[in-house]
Amino acid sequence: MLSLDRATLRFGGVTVLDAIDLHVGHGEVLGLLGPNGSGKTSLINVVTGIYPLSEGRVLIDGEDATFLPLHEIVARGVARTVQATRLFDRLTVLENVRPAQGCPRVAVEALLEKVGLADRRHAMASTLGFADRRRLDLARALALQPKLLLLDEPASALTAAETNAMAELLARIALPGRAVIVVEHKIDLIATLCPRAAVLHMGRKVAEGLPAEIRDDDFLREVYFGDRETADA
Amino acid sequence: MLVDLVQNTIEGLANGSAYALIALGFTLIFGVVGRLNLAYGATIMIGLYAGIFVHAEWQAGWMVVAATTLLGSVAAGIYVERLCFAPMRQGAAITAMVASFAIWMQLEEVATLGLPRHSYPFPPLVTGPAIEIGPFLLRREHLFMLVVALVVMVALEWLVRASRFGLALRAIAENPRAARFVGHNVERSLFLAFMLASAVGGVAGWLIASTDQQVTAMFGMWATFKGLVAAMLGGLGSLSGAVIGGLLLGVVEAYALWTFGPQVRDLSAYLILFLLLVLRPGGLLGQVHALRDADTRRRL
Amino acid sequence: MDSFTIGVVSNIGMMSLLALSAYLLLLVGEVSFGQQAFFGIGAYAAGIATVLWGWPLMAALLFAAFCGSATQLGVALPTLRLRGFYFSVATLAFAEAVRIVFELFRYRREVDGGLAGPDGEHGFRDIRYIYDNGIGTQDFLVLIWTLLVLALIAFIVLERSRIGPRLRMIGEDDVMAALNGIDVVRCKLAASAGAGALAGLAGGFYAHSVTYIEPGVFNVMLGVHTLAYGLIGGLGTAFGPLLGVLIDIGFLESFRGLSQYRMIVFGGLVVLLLILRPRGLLDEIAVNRLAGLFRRAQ
Repeated sequence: MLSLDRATLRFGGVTVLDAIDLHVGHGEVLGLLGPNGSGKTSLINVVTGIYPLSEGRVLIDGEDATFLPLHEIVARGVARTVQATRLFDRLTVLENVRPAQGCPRVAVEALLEKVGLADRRHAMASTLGFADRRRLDLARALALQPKLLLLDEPASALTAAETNAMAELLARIALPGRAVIVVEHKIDLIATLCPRAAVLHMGRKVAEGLPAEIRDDDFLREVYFGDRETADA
Repeated sequence: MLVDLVQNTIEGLANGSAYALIALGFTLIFGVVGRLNLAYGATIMIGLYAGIFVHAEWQAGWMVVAATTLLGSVAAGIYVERLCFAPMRQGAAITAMVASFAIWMQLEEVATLGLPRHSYPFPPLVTGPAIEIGPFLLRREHLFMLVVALVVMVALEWLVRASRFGLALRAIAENPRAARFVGHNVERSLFLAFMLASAVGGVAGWLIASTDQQVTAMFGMWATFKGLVAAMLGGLGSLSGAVIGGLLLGVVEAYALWTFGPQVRDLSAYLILFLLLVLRPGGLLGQVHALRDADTRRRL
Repeated sequence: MDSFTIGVVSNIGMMSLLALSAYLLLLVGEVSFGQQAFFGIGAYAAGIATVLWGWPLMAALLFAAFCGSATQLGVALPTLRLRGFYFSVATLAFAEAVRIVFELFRYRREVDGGLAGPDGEHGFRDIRYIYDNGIGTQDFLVLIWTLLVLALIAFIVLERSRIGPRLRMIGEDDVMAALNGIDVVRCKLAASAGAGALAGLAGGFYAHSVTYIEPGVFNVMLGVHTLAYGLIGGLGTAFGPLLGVLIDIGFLESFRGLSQYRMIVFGGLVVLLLILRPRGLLDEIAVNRLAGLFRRAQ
């Protein structure tokens, strides 16, 4: 579904992504780990078309999508959530989800039902609490009927209970039947949801494999755990 | 033919120094707060009208008129700053600009209500015969204006680069939040910068009016557009750019006037501005100005 | 209806169409300081069509809308990619350039034994189609308001469909809108074409209503008003700009003695609302509440 071929992103003098090779097959769920500044969000930004690659290619279903405009990439089945949730506060809950192309009203209502926001469909998005905003963001992305869903730290700043609820929700409605990349700090969440994970460090992919292996690897612990991960655990 | 060319250039530079002075104030405000003050020309007009008032009603001498003009401009500038810029720090830059757009019209109305005639006489500053250099004529007032424009530019540059106040302004311009953390009193510095820009405007207006020996009701409109084009031509935020832009605009206009007439002269200013925005928004000396704060995300 | 009232109500109708043109652009997040230019272009176009080319009124009005739309689209193409306030300054520059072009524009022809047509700074006189053809000012009023109502219906339909929220998404956050699959550039261009048509149509009405147009009318002050109607009345609904027009003209007519202070009051009102309520009186929150009340009542 998605291939990154020696993807490199440079800003001024800084190399944010360094010759990354990554593959996600149809229906595959991949976790993406790494400390702050390792390039995880930049990778998502590159796939969705926000930043053009300095070198390398992004291939979506075999097609070179490296320089496609954002809305064209979405049209090819890619959707994302945003870590610092950016919803449309001046629109209602329903209006945040409804404009998705090709998603009939019935399906939109069903989605809102699944994330538990159906009863507040006419409320302004600005009135939602933090966890609800995350769920609306998820519904909004799912309404685009993506074949590849990019989740940018879906559990960040959530309490332990909220994290579990989110994990359950994701497992139930987001993951089945589509390719997903889950970017997260919380390695336990990745372990629950993703059969495979990759680790980024300073723009390079330094490991890929089973989350359990990654968690137990000493080098990766060092690279990783100077981080708020231990505080969150 | 050559005589005409050079004479036109002299005329152009003369008018251009007026534009340069106005542009300096525009660009100073933009450089510091990152917003365009569309009411700037109107604040100068208020100052001028105050000066006209004391001259007409109380037969005040040129010094009182000058002081009144300056104070009037500064007062109007404070009004605009408190209303259109101080309350809108958190919002999008465009909001402050729209507010200043509305206040521009408001101030013009205030001025023309107070003094309704189309034009008023203004006391001259420098009188005397024009200086003759061979076949070319240079009016003393124009020379004075050009010199003042350059002096003000140098003074402002020094202030921005070498003084503590200037350091504060540059810090704020770069990153207001960080500047606050470091201890700069952002509100006060911005307020003072605005006052300074208004004072520069007052000086500019006074010089222009003294040279023309009259002020018309179109002054606010004229000053705003010419100053804006000149400042954008040179690159918003660049002081030397403001002067270069002003002089360049003056010269281009002089040729347009000579070749086609007054309407094309004004038309050329607007066309220059429009083409500039489409082709090179950063102006001659600037790069494309990356709008600060969350402007790329926020609107009205 | 006496002729004074007809005049006022016609004015409200025409200004509302113009206000809607600025509003449409505000929806997609673009602040245009220059709608008065397309208003003027529509006025001149319609006047030329009926006076110099002998066209019927409806064709002339259509032509006015077309000219407004085409020119606004033409200006939008190179300027929409400009960020935020650069676009606004471009609209301002363009509008003033157009005003000066009107001052230079001469297109005179012999009509019925006399010269007619735009005469530069002297303006364009005797656009007397409705008088020469027995259309009363009251009938004209009905025509203006019919088209205004049609425009409002179009806006309501738009808001209820997916298109309205899509436009508002662009206005609030155009990157997120693109990430939702919206072709931002194409939508903004469409909005520009629509805005130009509304402004041009309003201009066409204006020319025939006042019978004499001059370049000085299409000035910056008109631009401020056009923008202010939506900002004051509210950006949550197409009735917002209408409210803004009613407030302005209502104030003007109720306090005739204070009409000199109109711009002072109006300008102050704009700023007050921008500080306290940036999306205007009928903002999205207010409209949401009203919709909620309506739903509960059912």
